[in-house]
Amino acid sequence: MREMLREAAAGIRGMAVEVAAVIGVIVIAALAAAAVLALV
Amino acid sequence: MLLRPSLDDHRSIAHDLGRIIGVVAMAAVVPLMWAIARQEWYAASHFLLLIGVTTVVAAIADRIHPSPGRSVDWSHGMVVAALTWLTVPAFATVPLWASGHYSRWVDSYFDAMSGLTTTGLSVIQDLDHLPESVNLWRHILQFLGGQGIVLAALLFLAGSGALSLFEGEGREHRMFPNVRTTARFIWLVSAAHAVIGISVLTLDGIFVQGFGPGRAFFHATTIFMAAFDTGGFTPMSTSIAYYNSPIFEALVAVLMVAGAMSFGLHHAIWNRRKVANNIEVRTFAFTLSVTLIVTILGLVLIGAIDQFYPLVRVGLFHALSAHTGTGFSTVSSAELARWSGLAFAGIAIAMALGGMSSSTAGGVKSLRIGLAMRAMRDTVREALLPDGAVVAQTYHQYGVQRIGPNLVRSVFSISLLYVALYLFGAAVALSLGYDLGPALFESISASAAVGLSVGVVSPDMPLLLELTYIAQMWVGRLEFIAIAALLGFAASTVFGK
Repeated sequence: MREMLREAAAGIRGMAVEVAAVIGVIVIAALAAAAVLALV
Repeated sequence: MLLRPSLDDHRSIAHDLGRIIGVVAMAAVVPLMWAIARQEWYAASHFLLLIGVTTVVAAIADRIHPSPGRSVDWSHGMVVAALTWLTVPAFATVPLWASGHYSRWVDSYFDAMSGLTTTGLSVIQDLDHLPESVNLWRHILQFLGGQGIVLAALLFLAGSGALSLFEGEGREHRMFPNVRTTARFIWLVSAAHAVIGISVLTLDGIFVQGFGPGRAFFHATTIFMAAFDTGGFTPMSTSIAYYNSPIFEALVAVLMVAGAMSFGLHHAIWNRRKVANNIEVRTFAFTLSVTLIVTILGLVLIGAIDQFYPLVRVGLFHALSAHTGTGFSTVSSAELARWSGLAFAGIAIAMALGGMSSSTAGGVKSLRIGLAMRAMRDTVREALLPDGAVVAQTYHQYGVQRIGPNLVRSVFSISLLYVALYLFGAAVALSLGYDLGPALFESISASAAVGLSVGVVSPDMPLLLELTYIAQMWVGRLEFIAIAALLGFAASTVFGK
């Protein structure tokens, strides 16, 4: 049971990292879009 | 001198191939149950036929044994892997071809190969009226291919030669000394993502899309399998545009990123190891950022999109879909075909580079790109530094690793082979009268197991081109080595002594 809970926590931590990665890419896309629209 | 394989070699290959085909029989039970639940009796009968045929083949193969004590070598696993991706799609066509949604049998083989290689290109007709169970089967094929039908066979039917089969599938990195433990971890990661992913997408379907619970679950399950396995099939012909929801696209984006991550990286994150200096993470982040910026710049320059919000939403989704090798789209093929200049370059380069190694993504892959860049940097450093200066040629991937000459040779060889494969498909399409841009785009999409299309792939494309794309999907998925082993095995059988 403890092992299962540990693995579940590890899995949720892993998915949190994936969500953070996507948020990071969204920020890059937003900055890029703003810069391109301002310059072009 | 080529040595002709013995009868035991053939027996051993037939035995292992049969066990893997047995996995298809087990997998087909799921759409069969779905067909019964949805009262799709016509489709159910085809799944019963598939289960019957594959069970008989597996049972026959089970009785073919090599001589006792015979060990299975590296090339054996490669040959089995190469044959698996050729034969399994042939069996998988039974419910597809019988559905009547394909104008010729090769079309259904194309879709089965596309599914099993997690590509996502499709030549199905009238997808929106396909029985749900058959639609589910298309996505299960992606799941089987992505998770590795070989790995499934190892997990459920493990026997001799397990490790060589594992290597033959193109998953080089081993996280555990035992291949069965590795397979279990891969399935654990998949199960965790399946539970969370399908639950969240189902809730989105019910509360955002306004679907009923059954329909929401069906769409969530199919989209999960296609996203996490970087496949690209969708239950509706308009791909992800059908949902027209930024929340849905964001959820799918998370699954695409998860699918393109190597299982070694999943393992490291799950065990709280530092991954910021990992060469694959850095390379993927760098190339994704560059191709994303190039795509956004291109979209503005050609006047396709000139507003902030749609630029971020459309540009990001397609750059991510291309780079992870998924192939989902929120615009039509016709609109994608109008993305010229830098937008075309951004998406095409993203497709060609691909995701991480030991993932379901295709393409050259971030590890090779990173190592190639590191090797070139070290070469320049050596040239600039004084004679006798030593340049430490290392990289970080779950610890400090050394860049040796064999590794560099392997990296550049496979990368060049991918470029050759991209050009080969483009040349075939060019010879059939297609323009260079679409020819190159579609060739990269097929070879790198992406699935984005600018319209060349269609039910009425020439047979030669269709066969070329089938071959590209097969070769690209297995990363050349297994194909070379199969060709060597065939040559030894014919010309060996």
